[in-house]
Amino acid sequence: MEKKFSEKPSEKKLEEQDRILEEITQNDYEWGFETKIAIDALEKGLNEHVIRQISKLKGEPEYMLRFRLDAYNRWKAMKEPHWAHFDYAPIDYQDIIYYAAPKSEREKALDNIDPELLETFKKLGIELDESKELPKVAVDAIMDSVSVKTMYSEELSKQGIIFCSISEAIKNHPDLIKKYLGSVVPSGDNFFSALNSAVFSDGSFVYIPKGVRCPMELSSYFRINAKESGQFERTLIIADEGAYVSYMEGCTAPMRDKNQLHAAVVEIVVLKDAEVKYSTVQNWYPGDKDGKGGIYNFVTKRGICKGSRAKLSWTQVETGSAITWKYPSIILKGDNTTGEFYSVAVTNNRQQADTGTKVIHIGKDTKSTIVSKGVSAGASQNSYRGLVKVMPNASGAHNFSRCDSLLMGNRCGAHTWPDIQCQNDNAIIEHEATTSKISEEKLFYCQQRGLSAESAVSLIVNGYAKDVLNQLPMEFAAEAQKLLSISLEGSVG
Amino acid sequence: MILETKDFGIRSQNFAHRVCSGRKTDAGLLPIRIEMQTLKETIRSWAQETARHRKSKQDGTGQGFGETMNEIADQALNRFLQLPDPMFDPDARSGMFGEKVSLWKELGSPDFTQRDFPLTQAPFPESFRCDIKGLNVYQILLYNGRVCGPEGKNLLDPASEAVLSEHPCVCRLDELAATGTHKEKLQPFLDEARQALCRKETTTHVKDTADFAQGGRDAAMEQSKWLNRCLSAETLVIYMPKEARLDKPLQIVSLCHGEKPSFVASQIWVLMEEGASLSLVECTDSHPKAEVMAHSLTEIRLEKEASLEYIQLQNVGDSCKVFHDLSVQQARSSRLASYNLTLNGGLTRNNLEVNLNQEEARAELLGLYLQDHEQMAKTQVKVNHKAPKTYSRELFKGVIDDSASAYFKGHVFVSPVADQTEAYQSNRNLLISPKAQAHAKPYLEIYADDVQCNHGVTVGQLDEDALFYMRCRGIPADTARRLLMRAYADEILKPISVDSLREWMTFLVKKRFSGQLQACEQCVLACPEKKTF
Repeated sequence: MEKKFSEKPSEKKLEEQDRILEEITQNDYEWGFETKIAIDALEKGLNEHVIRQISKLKGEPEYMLRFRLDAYNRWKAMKEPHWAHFDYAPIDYQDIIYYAAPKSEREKALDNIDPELLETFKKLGIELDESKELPKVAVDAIMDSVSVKTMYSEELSKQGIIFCSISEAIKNHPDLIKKYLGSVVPSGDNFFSALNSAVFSDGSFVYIPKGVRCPMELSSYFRINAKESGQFERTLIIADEGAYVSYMEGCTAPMRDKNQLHAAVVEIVVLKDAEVKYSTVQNWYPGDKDGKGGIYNFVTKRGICKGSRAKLSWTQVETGSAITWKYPSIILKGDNTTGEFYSVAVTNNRQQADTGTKVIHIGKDTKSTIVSKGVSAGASQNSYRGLVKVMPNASGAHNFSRCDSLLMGNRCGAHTWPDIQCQNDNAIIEHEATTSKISEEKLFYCQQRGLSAESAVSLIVNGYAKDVLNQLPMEFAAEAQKLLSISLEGSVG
Repeated sequence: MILETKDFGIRSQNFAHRVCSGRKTDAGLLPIRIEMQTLKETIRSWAQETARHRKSKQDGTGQGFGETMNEIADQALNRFLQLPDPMFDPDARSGMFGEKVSLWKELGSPDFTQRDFPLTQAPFPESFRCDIKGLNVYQILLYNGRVCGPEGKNLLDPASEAVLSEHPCVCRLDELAATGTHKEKLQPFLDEARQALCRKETTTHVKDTADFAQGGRDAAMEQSKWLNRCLSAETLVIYMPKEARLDKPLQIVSLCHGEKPSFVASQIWVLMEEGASLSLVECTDSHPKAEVMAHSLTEIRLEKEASLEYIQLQNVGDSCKVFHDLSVQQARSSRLASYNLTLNGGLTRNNLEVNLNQEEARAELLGLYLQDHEQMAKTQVKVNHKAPKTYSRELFKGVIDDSASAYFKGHVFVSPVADQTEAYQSNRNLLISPKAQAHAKPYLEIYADDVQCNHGVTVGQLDEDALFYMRCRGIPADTARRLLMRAYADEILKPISVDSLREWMTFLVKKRFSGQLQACEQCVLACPEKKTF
């Protein structure tokens, strides 16, 4: 292999680079405003009383309270994991508000929602007014611990689709909840899933009945607003036989000096012949350029392809959060099932991301594709961590993984920690990874054709991430591209 | 396997249960728990024996480095005994994949404490002869970890004294230690050992500049070294002065044999001064029926522009376990080409650590492991790029048959100063039976931006199209399969510069793939190809 190394950039170029970097890093976090609304919040701290209160506030049936207390007891016996490539001040779990809700009651009619809230979501680019929304996307808007509004519920229910907040589902669809909640991510799975199972406040619930193709994109939007509170949402998606749904998730938070904890759990059950596409654009507040503040994002996401020919696809664009700990995983249990994972993770300043996936091949002729693109700039650390496991029965399993890292600047780090375990001689596993910086040749080529250094970098990074961005639904792709350019433009001159 | 699923990601309850049970290659946690204390006690008593033995050879003047060696051994033992019990200390198994426990798993077999620990020098079995045809080498013999040959002499040329001056020299360390005159030349080895022992318990990732300077170390590798430092009674020193070269390769035959199951430890230091070059072949051999656990540590220092070809050939009986640690320090423009060839062995673990300390150091690490029956091969490779313009390439290939399993863990570390690093890492596995297993962890940890790094792993089968092509042309399926496997192995063997060795290896691999290697050992006829004792 012929390799050419770039020459060291000249002094002048370096200066310019610094200048551009400065400009970018001083770019304000656009979504960092705070909404002034009255808030109902519980006392700080976590104990059995708090959990009972949460359950009571939400008017939950007895079985949920038992579920929560059981999870809490498991959590108490667990230790926070520290194997990830992170360096952060310890989290004080007693210094967090576990339940905070906007005071106004959740109402079906738009008129009854606090106009402040509407304004907030409008500012975030989300119209909760069904009459105004042009491309039909049903949104479940969640502020702090409660779901504010779920759109198009009625229209969807005509086809038998259930799209509501999980609190409603607990009340109205206990059979489904009892059957599936905790079936993919058991409450004792890990430290953060146990914590979430004990205190989760709200989230979305989706059920697509047999043979139904969901007519519109479903989406939930998470917003942390209250001070010193944590957000613990729980999402459960069930696609019954032959169903299809595309689900999107977005999130933002105000700028605060203090770190806030976000520990979510997402469970997806895909039955025979069904397909679920889950896309995330994660843009929690990443902290300022010195690493002050920002969201600690510890998320457990997992889906299971239960029946044969089921398909699950994760797409994620990770640009926010001070710390990202997230491994959307796929269990390919049925025969001929397919799993996909596409990820772009961008870190800048002092962000730390440790993200990747786990794919377990159990059924025969299962297929998985992993494409992960990491971009690190500033003084950030960006890791890909993944597992591909082929069980003895999974003959004909095929995995292809590709994880690339791009480094910008000499203070950042890019790491790859893959693990491959193959117990079947009939399986094919391919893993490739590269780490490099933006090639000077490509930059030169673009600049020669009249592009500024900044837009050349932006173009190259967008091209680099294209494999993943292409997987996003239309509405999200535009947002993701914008986010990428904001996070990176000009990081390298 | 519960360790792997403990903290991270996927674990549905049924699934976890399935992962935990029914895997025969993984020693469960329970046996380790029972063994832990007795295991530590056994190692303590062995280390005390070793220390007594070592001291009996020292003159007590405190002149040489006898004292330092004793001190290092004591410290190593202490650190080893302080290791937490993985059963009771969750931190000890906090690694995402439970790496820290692996040493205990390997040592913790129930028979460990029953093993012999032979320290007295036994005569080298005269019937042994190296079976590599046409190999013209300087041969140094090690029997159960002890050096054979006249005391106080240069083993390359038994007529001359052991001195580290103008001529290449191979001798025991304690003889040099007694005179103490060459202390400054070997001091870096002692310093390195001492520093490593003073370091705090290593974590899986680096946090501060001190960690960068060390190059992010691996806990399991360090622990394995501690064990060797406190249990090896003798150190073989290979010294190549400035610009020196030998007219033929140097071969070290390390033979293990014992009536009873035993544990042997050996240590080799290789010092290559500026511009020196050497081809070093280290063969680990055993009687096919022996039940030996052999732990060897080879430490290599390559000074400016030195060049070393290092071939490690492991071919021991099915009941033998081989633990080999290789630690290399490379200075400016030095070259290392290392080959790890594992032909046979019950459990073979190779820990390779290469430090590219100065600019333009280059290391090529190649490996081939052929596993069948219930054998297990574990390869850990750590390459630390600590200076700009360094280069490393890893290529490890395995053929795994029957219920054998292979583990590969590669770790490329690029520190912030190591701009313009090139690092390539590749692991290929061929599974040819339904129960064979391959596990790979190709890690990249990179803190510099102007780098070219990549890694790749494949697990798969022989190319069906190629097989079909050959069968179309009248080649029987079996032969076609073997041909393909030989071609696959050839990539590793081809660059070996010692002709006779390369040919012999190709021959052995061929025999191995046709299933004759084992048959040959069990045969009672005295044919020239038979390994004799």
